Amino acid sequence: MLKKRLTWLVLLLVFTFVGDRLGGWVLGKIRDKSEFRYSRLYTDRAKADILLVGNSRGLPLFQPYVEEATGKTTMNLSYNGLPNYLGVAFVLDYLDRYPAPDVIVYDITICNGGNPPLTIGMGPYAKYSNRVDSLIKTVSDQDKTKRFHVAWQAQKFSHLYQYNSEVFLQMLYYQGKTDKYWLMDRKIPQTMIDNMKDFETIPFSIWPSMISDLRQMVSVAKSKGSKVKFIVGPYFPEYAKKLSNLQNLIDTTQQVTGLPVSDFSNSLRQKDFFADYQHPNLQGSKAYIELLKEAGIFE
Amino acid sequence: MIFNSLIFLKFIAVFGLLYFALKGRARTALMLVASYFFYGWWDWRFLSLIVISTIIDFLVSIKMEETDDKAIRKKLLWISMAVNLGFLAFFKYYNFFAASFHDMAANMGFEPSDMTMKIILPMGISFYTFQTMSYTIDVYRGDLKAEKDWLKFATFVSFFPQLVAGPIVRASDFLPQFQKTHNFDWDRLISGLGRVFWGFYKKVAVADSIATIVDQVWATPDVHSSSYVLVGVILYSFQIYLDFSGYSDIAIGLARIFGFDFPENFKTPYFSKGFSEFWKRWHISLSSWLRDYLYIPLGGNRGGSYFTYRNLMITMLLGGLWHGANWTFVFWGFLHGSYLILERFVGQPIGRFMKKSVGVPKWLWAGVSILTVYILTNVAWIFFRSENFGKAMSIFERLASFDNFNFSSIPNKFLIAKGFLLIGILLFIEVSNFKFHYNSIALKKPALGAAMFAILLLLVALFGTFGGGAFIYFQF
Repeated sequence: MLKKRLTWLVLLLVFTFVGDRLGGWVLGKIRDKSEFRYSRLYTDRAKADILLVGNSRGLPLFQPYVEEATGKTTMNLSYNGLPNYLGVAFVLDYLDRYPAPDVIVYDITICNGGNPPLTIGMGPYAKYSNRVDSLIKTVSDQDKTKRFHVAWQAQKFSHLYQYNSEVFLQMLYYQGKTDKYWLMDRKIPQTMIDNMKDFETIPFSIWPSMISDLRQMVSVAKSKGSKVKFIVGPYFPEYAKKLSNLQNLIDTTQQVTGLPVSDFSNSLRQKDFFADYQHPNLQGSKAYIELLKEAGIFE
Repeated sequence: MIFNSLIFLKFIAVFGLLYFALKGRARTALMLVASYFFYGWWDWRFLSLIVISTIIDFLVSIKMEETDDKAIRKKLLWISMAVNLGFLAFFKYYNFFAASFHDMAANMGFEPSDMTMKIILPMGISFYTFQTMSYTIDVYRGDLKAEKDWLKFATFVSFFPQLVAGPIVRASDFLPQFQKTHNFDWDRLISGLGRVFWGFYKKVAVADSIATIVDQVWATPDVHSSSYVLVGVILYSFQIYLDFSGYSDIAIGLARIFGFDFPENFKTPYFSKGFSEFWKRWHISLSSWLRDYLYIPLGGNRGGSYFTYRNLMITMLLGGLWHGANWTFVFWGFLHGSYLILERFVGQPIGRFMKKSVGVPKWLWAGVSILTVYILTNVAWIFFRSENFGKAMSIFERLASFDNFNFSSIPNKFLIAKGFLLIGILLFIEVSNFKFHYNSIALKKPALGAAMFAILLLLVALFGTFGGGAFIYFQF
């Protein structure tokens, strides 16, 4: 009887351990084969003349349109809710791995607070990047709730758990798909426009470390021969008026980095150009990229 | 304390070791202390309510048994009801009735002052009060002997696996189980653990994953496409089922490990072919409670069609109110009452006609019935999930508008795909379990059993939402 129980327990441990390692290995292969932008970044498939970076507001820097407008190859490292510290880490990793791009177009509205869940979710790329690895550790150490700290420790323990995030689902989504599918082709609903009258002012949450990160990025990019172009992408016109400290963000960035910031926050006036308050849609993206081209941002 | 927390893992490990190290009354005392600790971890102040309910019902039932005087027995029963329902009325319903009265008076042209108060709803109050009330009623009816051992009785009221979200266990099922020795039993450990893991899969991997979509849809239904709202509504039907049945699975599994058997609370409810069947498969411990202590005492189906319909409606309205102090819950109960009445009134005759006279094959009619019940259940869930009628109507308006009713207008596709994949795995296992009985396989074939457990653990590791929300039914 005891032997049977021991066998059962040992088998459970073995199956769980082997399953975890085997599953982690298979998912690692999926990660490396995916067309998801960070998979491409870390598997030498991201060489480009123009590097585009932002949070979800960087996504309207739609690669096919930029390439059509400039005739140059592009790589967009933007992602929904991407915090500045990860954006900078990806750019620095890019500069370590590839020939310097001609231009790095960086939407500074990425400087709006942190994103611990997304940072922890980048676990599968920690293997490739010491910067990402140390950011995950920093974020988990700073977590007062201990939730992310436990998640980080669990990632070290379980290889499968590293993939327990939306980042993994994106890796799956991008199997056989490229970034040309990423923009939603919808128009801002009238209800959203109507609701805006109830909005108070909306402040950016700017941390000092965000600005110093930008300074570091500019310094490394310059030393490698890349130009950095800071921009502020378009907001829905009425929404842009509610942003309370955007000008402060622009002024601080210019002051600290010594580079100008091109402000396109109020540049798209048609409501049909927007999917919601903060994101131009496919049509808006095209118009936005034309404006960027006219302003010489890609040069 | 909630099951899906690290502190609970530590708690259950310590409890398990001590439980099997102790015997007799010391073990029962441990169960009681641990249960109070479990509840007090949330807010120790509200332990007093459980203790008062326990003391009153313990004493009342003993006194009740000591006398044959019907009037005294009735008075004693009223004391118990007044205390238990009084707690419920104050903590759960006071603000609801005060606000409703205020609104009604204001609508009639009066200017009443605000009578609402800041009251914290004690976790699981509806569950443990119903559990103790059923005990007192059973003793009053003479269906059950009063428990003379206060330790056992207090443990029955507060046993932690089912204390805050059921199943609502009857004293007649629970108390006799103290007579058994409950030595460590390997088979019980394996089958109980399997049930616990299955509950975690339902809650942590599936319900909490799809909660993100559901919350988004209900937060701002006006700004989403109708196709996304439809996805949200469908996912909510699974979220509520998996969240609640997941809790029941964990509770049943834990109790099994420690030698106790709890009644089943769910039996694949979305495969019901009618609403009377649905209520035999959904939250069974509550529906059977309402049947035994409300519907049948009201007269059940003994007084002809009118009284049957009346009794059904009263039972479902109060069943709705049991869930929460909001008119949307009452309306949810009203809808289910109406469904039950319509089923008896027209559904069953139509079914007989379609099968016998039109010759619709049984399997096809069963499919149509299952789908109809599922859709109507979803209609009711919309009210259940909405904080007010305005929100529920917004959901219906979006659905009926067919605005942007297409695949491309659905955001978060990867998250939705994950949700449906996990639901698919779950439904496959639930349905195939009828044929394969995975529990017996786990016991008979160690390798297969260990592999099944490992797969569940790995699925939870890969897809689980950790640090997620509390169980939905805690608020009831």
